[in-house]
Order: sequence, then structure tokens, then C-alpha cells
Amino acid sequence: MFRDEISSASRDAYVARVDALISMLRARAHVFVEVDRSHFTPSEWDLWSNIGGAGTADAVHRCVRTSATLWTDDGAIAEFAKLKGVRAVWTQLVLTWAQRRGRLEASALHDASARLVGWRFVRTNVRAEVFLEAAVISSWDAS
Amino acid sequence: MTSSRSCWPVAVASAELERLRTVPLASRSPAPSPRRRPQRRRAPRRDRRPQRRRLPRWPRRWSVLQQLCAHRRARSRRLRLRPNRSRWRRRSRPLRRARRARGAGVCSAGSSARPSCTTCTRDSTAGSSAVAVVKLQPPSRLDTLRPILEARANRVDELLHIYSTTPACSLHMLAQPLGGTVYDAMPAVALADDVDVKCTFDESEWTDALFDSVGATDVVIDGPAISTLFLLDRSSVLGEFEGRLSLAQGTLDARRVVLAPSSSRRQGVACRGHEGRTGVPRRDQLR
Repeated sequence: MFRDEISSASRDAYVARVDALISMLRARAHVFVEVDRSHFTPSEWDLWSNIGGAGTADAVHRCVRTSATLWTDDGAIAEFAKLKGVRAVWTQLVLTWAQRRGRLEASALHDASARLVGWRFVRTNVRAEVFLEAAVISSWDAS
Repeated sequence: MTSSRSCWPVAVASAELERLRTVPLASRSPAPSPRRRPQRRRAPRRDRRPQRRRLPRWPRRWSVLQQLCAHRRARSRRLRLRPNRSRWRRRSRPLRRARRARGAGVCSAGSSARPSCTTCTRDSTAGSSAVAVVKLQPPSRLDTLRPILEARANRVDELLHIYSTTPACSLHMLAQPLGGTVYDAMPAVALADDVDVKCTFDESEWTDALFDSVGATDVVIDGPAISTLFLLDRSSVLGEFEGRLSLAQGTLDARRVVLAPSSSRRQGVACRGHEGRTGVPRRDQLR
């Protein structure tokens, strides 16, 4: 276990980042509450809330109801959602999709992939460019 | 903790009821009738003249009268302080029952007797009904915290091991016993040395159909994905969906909960340090 004291400045930066993320989510995403819960029994609803926490039951139910795609990085939730016929995607796939559309630079995708490998996200798709980017991140001296 | 086990008085009562059911009606003792005051028999009225009542003898001396009045005052005061003894007995019956039950093992702090009760210990001497409340001593040295912290770290390691070895264990199931959300658990698992983040289970899922579904259908984002985006600092990708992205209110609320302690700190509340395992990433991990 490691312990790290966070200074006031870094803490404020952290709070500012979370604030920015919430603002971005509110601006770009439609926030919903599932009123119609007809696709789940009450016990199923409780089960989904226990598996994934607040909002997961709403998210999966909406995916079942509207045939939407679920974007989650929790493999267990993805596998359980597939049992309900829901398509599940994860962050590296979405970043790759954005890169294919030309909205994200390739170096940014490789950087993100290298970090995901470093954080032991399984199964992260690894290419040669990702290894190169990992060397850059870790300040590896090739000479 | 005691939800699965029935409380013993209930068990005793049900056993008593069962015994009463099995006993034939004739052998049962008759139900006690409500108490009635024995009615005084009035003497037959002989004549209509009221009987002459004997008056007590009037004291002849003034001092005797004073003594009598003082005695009466004291008696009435005594009565006010301690009422009729028989009534006192009747009122104290529940108390005596509780004392007897405590002797049989009922905890004084709760409703049921459990050997695991932490507030009191029962004297194990046979026939004794003494209940001694354990007074916790305040810690005298800082070293006493070390085993507690080690035990806590071991528990966290156990939970992380369960998460990494159980495919069905989700991030929320890891975060909930630690008192956090997926936004706490995701960085904790990502920064842990020997724990994998179970993002997906099969590499063969990289299909064109999935890319098409991201591009064509509505996308509902979940908490772990938001947490990963936050770790990667790639929230700009959210703008690529052109109105097709949606988010559950509960997911957003959980994200706000993570922010709550920091907002209280802004208002002047003292800030404390954060451990890596509790979810706040280290400075060097924050980009």
C-alpha cells in the first residue's frame, strides 16, 4: 500500500478535471432515468443494481429497450448484458472507432493504448506502435 | 447480523404455544377471571336511624395535637415518595422479568442474547446473572494502529484477489465493501501492481459489426467507461457521438459523490491525505 499526500494545488486541479468531465457529460450526453421498467422484473432490477451500482440497471434496461450499445469497461457487466442481447463496447474500441473516423490522432490512440496496457486492462489490443508509444511514455532511451 | 436467526424469546414463546396446542382442553387450567373486589354484604337495614359513629378522643393537650399533625405530615410525605408497596411490586414486574431474562442470557443493550455481543459480557459463573459492560480503553500509543492498518490492507488485497480471480465479480462489487463507487475502484485496480482490469474477455470481439454499432446506434455510457476516460484524459471523445450518447442519472450522481469531499474542503473543512488504494490516483498518474 502506498500513501500519497495530495497538495492543495493538485487537489484543485483534480477537482477542476472532474468538474470539466461532468460539464462535458451534461453537455454531450442525454441524462435519463428509466421510468418504464417493463423489460426487467423487480428482482432483476435489484440484481443489476447490485452488480453494477447506481445507474447500471437504467443503462442496461435502456439498451434492451432501444437496442442501444452499452459502452462499459467492466467485463462482468458486459458479459451479463450480452445475456440480455445487448452489444457492449469498451473504451479502446471506441477510441479506435474515433481514430478511424479521423476525429482522433493515431498517436493519441497509441498513447491511450499503451497506458491501458500499463494499467493491465485486459484484453487490450496491442500493436507495434503501442510498444513504441510505451517507450516514449516511460522515457526509454533506445540508444 | 441477526436477521437469519430467530430471537430466543420468540422461540420460547412458539414452543410454549406448541405445548399448549398439544395439551387437551380439559387438562388446561381455567383462564384466570378478572379480579373482583369481594362485595361487602350490607347488613340488613333494621331501622332508619344512622348508627352513631365513635369519634376518637380529642387530645387534651396542645402539644399532643402538634405531634399528631407532624406525624401525619411526615407520613403523607413518605407516601408520596414511595407509593403503595403492592402497586410498586406490580409496576416493577417487567423489570424483574427483564432481570431474570438477563440472567438467562439476554443482552442489556439489545433484544437478544448473543455470545458475539460486543457491548457487554455475561458472567459465566453458573447461576449468575451479572452483566458487565466492557469499557473500551482509548488507545495510548500510535503503534496500536499498525495491526489494524495491516489487517485492513490484507482485506483490501483479499478483495482485489477475489476481483481478479472471479470473472463474474464486477468493479462495483469490489468497490461496495470498501465504501466507494466504481470511480474509486477503477483507478485503484488500475494502479494496483498485480491486478488485471477485466475490460473484455475475448479478443475476437473486435468485429466490424461492433464498430458499425458504435457509429450507427445510440450509445449508453456506463460508470467504468467514464472512469477510464477520466484516467486517460480523453473526454473529448464524448463529442464524437453527435447526440447519440446517453447517460443514466444514477451514473452521473455517483460521479458527483466522488466530488463531494473536495467541495466540502473548499468551504474550509480540513483536508486529509488519500491512499492510493482508496481510489485517488497519485500525482504522477494524473496527467
